[in-house]
Amino acid sequence: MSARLADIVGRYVYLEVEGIEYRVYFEEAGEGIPVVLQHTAGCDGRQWRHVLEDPDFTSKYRMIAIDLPFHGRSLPPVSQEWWKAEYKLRQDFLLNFYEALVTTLELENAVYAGVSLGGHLAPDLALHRPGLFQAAFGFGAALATKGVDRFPQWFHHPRVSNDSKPAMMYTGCAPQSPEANKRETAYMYSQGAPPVLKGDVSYYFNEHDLTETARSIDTSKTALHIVGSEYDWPSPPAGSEALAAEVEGATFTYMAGVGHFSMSKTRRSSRSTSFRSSTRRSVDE
Amino acid sequence: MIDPVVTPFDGFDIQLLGSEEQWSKLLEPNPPPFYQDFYPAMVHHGFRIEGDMEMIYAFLPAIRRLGDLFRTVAATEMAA
Repeated sequence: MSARLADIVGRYVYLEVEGIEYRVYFEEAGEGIPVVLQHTAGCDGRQWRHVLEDPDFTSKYRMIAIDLPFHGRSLPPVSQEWWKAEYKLRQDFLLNFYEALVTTLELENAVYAGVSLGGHLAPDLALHRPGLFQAAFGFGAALATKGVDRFPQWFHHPRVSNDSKPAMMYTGCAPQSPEANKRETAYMYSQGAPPVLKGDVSYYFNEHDLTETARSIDTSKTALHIVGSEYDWPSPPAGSEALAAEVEGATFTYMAGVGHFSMSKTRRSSRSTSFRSSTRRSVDE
Repeated sequence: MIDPVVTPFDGFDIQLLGSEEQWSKLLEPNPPPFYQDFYPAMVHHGFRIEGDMEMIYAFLPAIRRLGDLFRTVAATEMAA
């Protein structure tokens, strides 16, 4: 009996970002236009595994799912005494990281797609690194996320276990989502290093703010596609639509029956094809 | 301990507080957007999760599961 192997290949690439070398893990599948996939805060590239096994995507695109440093299999850099500083994800780091990734992997005409934290990053890349990607997809992207300053402390607290974050993430899923997919999302969150979610949302809640600058995004350099999901309570679709309305040339797509973790909802066997159809249509255009 | 009858003279660690309309949406088999759990209902619909915040966050998995159990009971009662 021959083994049933997934058509996904995992590798490490050494990237120099801001003078520091990072050993970055990524998984890829398919051939064609490169599509780089960014996971949500406090999680890792495994969230994209159903997309990476979906021939609707892999027959036309080279799908590349990365683990940011400190996430998944991308361990902290060995040259740094990282344990002596509080972990905080910075916007400049993200922008420089993606510049290094595109350059080092020699990705041409690449497309970027990200969810939640990765969604916010889509317009930031379009604004600050115009042309680095031919198109950027922001799932759950918004102008800013404000009014939650007292919230992140509970993401890393000595008397709150690593079970609480997964429980909260489960609530971001739509009730119609397959139970197995919701549990898988929560399971991945249970495996994140304890300080990482709190450090990631420093970018998500504080640094990401396009209220004054969204209008400066040039969609002739990087086409911008914003997607909102009906049950995405951390980033409601109205906020995503408001961002798209600010950017000349940007598109907005609404996905009914989908929650915050839109990429995890896309098992081929599931009824929802909205993630596939909205993404494919926009990339094809 | 879950106390079904709360008076102003009772203390509590965690209180889930909502109008009849909010509870009824929370307990639908497929709740409307942001009624899929107590937490999003608090953030977006004015439902209240009150009390000792440290305990609330520590027991978030149990509070979340309570919603599943309530929905199961509600569905059973509607079917009966």
